[in-house]
Amino acid sequence: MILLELLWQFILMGMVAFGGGTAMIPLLQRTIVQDQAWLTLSEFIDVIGISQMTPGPIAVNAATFIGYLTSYEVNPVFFQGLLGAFLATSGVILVPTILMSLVIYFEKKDSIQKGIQKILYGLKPALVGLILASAVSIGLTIEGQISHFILLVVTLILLFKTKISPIILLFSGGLIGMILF
Amino acid sequence: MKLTLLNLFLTYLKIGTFTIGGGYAMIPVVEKEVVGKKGWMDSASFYQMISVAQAIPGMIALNAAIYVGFKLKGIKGAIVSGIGVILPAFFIMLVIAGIWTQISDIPPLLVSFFEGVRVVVVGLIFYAAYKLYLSSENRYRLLITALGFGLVFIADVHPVYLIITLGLMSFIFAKKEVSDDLT
Repeated sequence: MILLELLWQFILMGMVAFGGGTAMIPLLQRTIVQDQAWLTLSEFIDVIGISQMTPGPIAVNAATFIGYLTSYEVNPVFFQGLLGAFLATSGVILVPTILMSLVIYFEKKDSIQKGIQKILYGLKPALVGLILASAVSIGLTIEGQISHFILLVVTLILLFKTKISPIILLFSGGLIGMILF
Repeated sequence: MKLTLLNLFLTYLKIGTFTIGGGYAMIPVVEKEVVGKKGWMDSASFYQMISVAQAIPGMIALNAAIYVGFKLKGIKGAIVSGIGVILPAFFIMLVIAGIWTQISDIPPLLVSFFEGVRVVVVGLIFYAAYKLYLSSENRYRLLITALGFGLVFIADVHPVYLIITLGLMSFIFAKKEVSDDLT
């Protein structure tokens, strides 16, 4: 059943979501696009784009959006979409909320934090590799016109050389797209 | 502003409604509200909480809200802050998803808008990877990055299994004194 499957998949992803929202993109991509085939890769990229352009934590935005779309597709009623959105969002926050409560509860012993730092020591560079893999596979879906490539290069230069806000970049990218593509 | 449960909830509701860009964009806004404008806690303990929130899996914004809420108003404070920070995102996305499913033919101009957005999303993901890479203190970070990329992109290993295996190995073999967090 789609609703239970949504809940379960988002609980799993929340459990291993080290590194916050952006680091979750590879997990979402693998689960949503490849394993479950709930969205196509280009739909998925649009979901990520919209999630970054709207207020709130990116993973919550993505979970709500994906939960709504996938359950609505099975049964096109608003209530079904709402339920899917609610279950996906609840799922993704479940384990982090429990862990956070444990950390707060055992704060004086700070053994949990030490343990997590040990996990991150080896894991973090691997997460970088995962995120890069997502960037490359998403990048490959963009049809290779020279104007797209120039926009990507300009985006990267602005990100590396200035403190420009990602939101401004996303909206400008969209406007440039409306003019050029 | 007096520190009450309602005010705490409203503060986080405001932060959740007006901060675009996820957890990292929220940190300075929360600091301005909770430390600066309202003086509910000092800057040092605020940043200590942020570093914990970043280390725990999940959304940094939510983790931090739970911690800050708990410090200020106990369990009830944690609940109202956590709900306050995600509620606006949930409803805004619900509206967008509702509209999204109603549009049968997406206007061409919107299609090109998202084609542009997509390119920027790729750039942002690259940049996020770069920033995370710089924050690693691991001597073999380049090697492990290449390994992670190769296993997922070329060998098609599931990221969940990779994260669990590597996390467990690092937990067992990393020396006691490492202090790598995500700041």
